[in-house]
Amino acid sequence: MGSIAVLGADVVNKIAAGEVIERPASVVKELVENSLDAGAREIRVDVEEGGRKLVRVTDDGGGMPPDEIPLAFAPHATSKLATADDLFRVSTFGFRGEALASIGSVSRVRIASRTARGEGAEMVVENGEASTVRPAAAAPGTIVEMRNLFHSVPVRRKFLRSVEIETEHVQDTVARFAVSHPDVRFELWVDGQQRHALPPSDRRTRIGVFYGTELAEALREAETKQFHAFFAPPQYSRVSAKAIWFFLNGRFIRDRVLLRGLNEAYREMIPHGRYPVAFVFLTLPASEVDVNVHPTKVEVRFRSVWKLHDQIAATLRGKLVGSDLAVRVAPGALPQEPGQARAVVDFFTRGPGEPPVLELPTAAARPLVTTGRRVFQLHNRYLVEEVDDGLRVIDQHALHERIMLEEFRKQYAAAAIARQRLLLPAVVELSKAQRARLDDGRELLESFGIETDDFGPGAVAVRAVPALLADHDPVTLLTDFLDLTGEADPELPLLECALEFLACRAAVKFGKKLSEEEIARLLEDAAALDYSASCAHGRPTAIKLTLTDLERFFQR
Amino acid sequence: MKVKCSRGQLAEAFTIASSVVPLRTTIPAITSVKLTATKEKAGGTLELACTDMEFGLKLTLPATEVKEEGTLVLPAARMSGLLREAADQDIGIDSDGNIAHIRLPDASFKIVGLDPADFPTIPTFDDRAALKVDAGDLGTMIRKTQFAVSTEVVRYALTGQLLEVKGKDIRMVASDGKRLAYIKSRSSGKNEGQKDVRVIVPTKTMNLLDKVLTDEDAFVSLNVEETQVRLKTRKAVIFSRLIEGHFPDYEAVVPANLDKKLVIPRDLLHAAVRKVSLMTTDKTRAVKFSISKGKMTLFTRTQDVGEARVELPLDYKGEEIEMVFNPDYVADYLKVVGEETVELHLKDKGSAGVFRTGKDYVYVLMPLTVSM
Repeated sequence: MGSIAVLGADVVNKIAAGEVIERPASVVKELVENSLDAGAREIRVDVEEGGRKLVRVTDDGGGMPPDEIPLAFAPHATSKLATADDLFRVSTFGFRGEALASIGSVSRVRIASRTARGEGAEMVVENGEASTVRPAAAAPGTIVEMRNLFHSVPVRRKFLRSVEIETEHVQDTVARFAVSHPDVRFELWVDGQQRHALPPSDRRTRIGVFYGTELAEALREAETKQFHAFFAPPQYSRVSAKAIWFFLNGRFIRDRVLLRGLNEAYREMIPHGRYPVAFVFLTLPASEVDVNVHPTKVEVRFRSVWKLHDQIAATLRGKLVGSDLAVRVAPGALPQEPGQARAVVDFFTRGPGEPPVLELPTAAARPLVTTGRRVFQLHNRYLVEEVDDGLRVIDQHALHERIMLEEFRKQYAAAAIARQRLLLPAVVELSKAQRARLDDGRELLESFGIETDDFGPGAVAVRAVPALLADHDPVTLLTDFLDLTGEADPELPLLECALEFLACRAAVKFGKKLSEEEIARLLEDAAALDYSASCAHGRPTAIKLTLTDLERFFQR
Repeated sequence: MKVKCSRGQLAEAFTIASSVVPLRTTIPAITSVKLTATKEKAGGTLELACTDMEFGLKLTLPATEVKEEGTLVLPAARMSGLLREAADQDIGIDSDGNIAHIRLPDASFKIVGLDPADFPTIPTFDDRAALKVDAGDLGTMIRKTQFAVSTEVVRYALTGQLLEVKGKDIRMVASDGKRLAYIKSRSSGKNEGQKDVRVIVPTKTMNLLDKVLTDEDAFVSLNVEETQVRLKTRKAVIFSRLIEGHFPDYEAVVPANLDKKLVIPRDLLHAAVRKVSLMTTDKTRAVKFSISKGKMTLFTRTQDVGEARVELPLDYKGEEIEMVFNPDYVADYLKVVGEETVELHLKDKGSAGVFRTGKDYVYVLMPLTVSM
C-alpha cells in the first residue's frame, strides 16, 4: 500500500457530521424531517441546555420494525430512494440517509421505535459504536434521543454558543416546521418546561404564534400556481432578513435570488437596510428543482429562478400597491410615556368647540372644504385628516416626497426634466473625492438637469438646476448629492439614488406651514398616485387610527 | 400715564408692530410693545416701540390728549386683538404701575404689562449723519425689486435687497440667482459730502419701510453704522441689522448685445401669461414663448392636465425665436412694472431675456430648458 490512507468510516462520518450537524438545531431539523417523512401527526421536541445535553424527538409516525433499526444508522442507507433517478424527484425530507449516521458519530444516540402492529425495539449508538437491537417498551412511532452532542469532537463543541442562543436556534427550527406543516401537532419542551404546544391549525395562526397575532392578522396573502405567500405591510419591516421565510415543497430554504425578488416587491416601501416580513411557500414539481446542492438542503437550485423572482416581485408588489397601507395604530401601541399619552388622549377627547389642549395654530385648524373631508395641519409637520373609518395622520414631508419621486420618475422617463438655467452660476469647490464622483455621475446629473462646467482647478460652476428645485441652493444641491453617492448603498443604482435624493429635496420640509390650497393639492396629488404609503426612502407616509381603535382605546 | 387716542390709528400701529414681534420666543419683553406718552403743546404723542433684537421699530402717532406722561409695556398680540374688537372711537389708556386700564365707551380692560426696565433699549436716530432719499422713489424701488429676492437662506447675501447710494444715484438690486431686478433713480435730496452706501438690507426691513411710508413722507433718512441700518420717516424709525456677504456684481449679469427686441403691451402679455398658466401645475411651471413675424404665441402642455395656446399680435419683424420661461417669473415682473408697454430683449433660447422700461428699470431672467 502507498502512503495514502483510506479514511475510516468513523472519520468520514465525523466529517459528514460537520456538514450536516453544525449545532443542536441541525439535529432537531434532521430528526423532525425524519418524523415528517414517517407520516407523523404529532411531533414533540425536547431540548436541554440548548440541546447540548439532550435533544429528543418523539413522533407518532410509522415507526420501524426491529430489524430495520440498525439500517437507520448506516450511511447512505435510506428507505426513501430506490434508484438514482429518484434522486431528482425527491419530495421527502431525509433522503440522503446521512442524518442518523452523522448524529450517531458525534454523540450518544438512542433510538426506540415501534410500528403500529409490531414489537417495540431500541438501539444505542455512542461515538459510532452501535449496541445490539434490544426489545423495548415503546408507543407506536419513533423516539430518537441524542445526548452529549460533540462530546467526542471537542473542536466542534467549542464552537457551540451559549445555551440561550442554541435554544433560540432550536426554537427557530421548530417554528419553521410548525409554519410549513400547520396540520401537524408540535410541542417544544425546553429544559423540562413546555414552551409551545401547537394544535393543528393553519399557516397564518402558526405565524401568529411566533410573530404575534397582530402581525399575523395584518399579513396579506397572494396565491399563484407556484407559490402561496403571506407578507406583512411595509411598516412591519425589520432590521434583518430573519423574518423572511421561503419554503420549497414544505422544506425551509434560502435563496438569494428569491430574497432579491421579495425586496424588489417592497422597493421604496421600506427604508434601506430594513427587510420585509414574508412567508413564501413554493410548490414546484421535483423536476423544476435540484435539492442536492448541499447536505443541509437549505440551498437548492431552481431550473428557472429568475422567472420565480419576477413572479414574486410582481405579484406581491401588485397587492401591496393596490391596498390601503396606512399604518394602523393599535391603541395598545400608543405612547406610554405619561405626558405624551396624556396629550394624545386630550387631543382625541376634546369636544367640538372646546379649545385644543395641544397648541394648535387656530388658523390651520379650520376644516378644509376642498376634499370634502376635514384636514388640518398639526404643528406644521403633520396633516390630520378625517377618513371614512377614522382618522389619518400624514407626514407631510414623506407624502410630498413620494409625490415628487413619481413626478421626477415621470419626467425622467419622458426625458422632460425641465431645468432652470442660472443667471448667477454657483461656483462649488470640490474635494478630490467629490470631484471623482462628479466625473462618474456627470452624465446622469445632466439628465436630471444639474449642469456643471469646470471652473478652474478644483471647482465647478453649476449652470442649471432642475426646475422643480429652482428654489434650492445649487451649491448644497450638488455637494449633498456628491456626498450622498459616496455613502450610498452600492447595490442601489445611481439613478434610483438620484431620484430619491431629488425627491427628498423638492419635497416640502417637515415644519413648513402649508396653506389650505397646498394641503388640498398635496392630498389630491397623493390620491392620484397608484402607491403613496411610503416615502422615497421607504418610511411610511401615514398612520391610521380607526374608529374601532378609538373605541377600544376609550373602552366604549 | 393717562392718554386718549384714536382707536383706528392705534390699531394700525399695533398691526404693524405685530409684524415685527417674533411669534415664538422665550423673552416675554420682545413679544410686547412699549408705549410712551409725551405731552406736547397741542395734545401730545404716543410712541410704540417693538423689537426682535435684530430688528426694531418705533412708530409715533398723535394722541388726542396726554394728561400724564408715562410708559407701559403691553403684550402685542393681546392689544392688537383688543383694538380690533373695539368700536371706532377714542380710547383711553391709563397706567397704574405696570398695569394698563383701557377704557372703551362700552367696556374696560385691565392688562398686566411688564416693567419698562425689562424692555430692550432701541437705538436712537442721529439725524445729522443721515442720507436723504426720496421717499416715493424708495417705495417704488422696493416694490419693483422685492419679488426677485431669494427665499433660499443658504445663498444668504441674496435674501436681501442691495441698496446703493452713490452721490445722487440710488440703485436697488435683488436676485435669486435665476433672475435679477435692477432699478435706479436720482435723489433730489442734498447728500453732498456723504459717504457712498452699499448695503444689503433684509427684505423684511424693506417691507416694513414700505408699510410705514405714507404720502406725507418726502424723504427717508438713512444711517448706516457698521452692521446696522437705521431708516427714518416722518412717523417711524426702523433699525435693522444688515446682511453681511457679497452681493454679486449685477452690472456683469445684465447681458449686452441682445439682437432681438420686442415691444409688448403689458396688459396683453400679463393676461396671456395668466391664461396659459392655467394649464401648468406647481410641478411643471414652463411656458414656451414663440416669437415670429407679427405675433407671439404662448404655449404649455402638462401631462394629465392639458395644454393651452394663447396668441397675441406683436409688432415684430425679426428672426423667429422660441424661449421657455417660468410663467411666474414673467408675471411677477408684469404685476409691478407700471408702464403700459415693456420691451423684451432676447438673443437665443439658452441665454437670458431682458425686460426693460426705459434705462433705469431692468429685469433679467434665465430661461428654462425643456422639450415641449
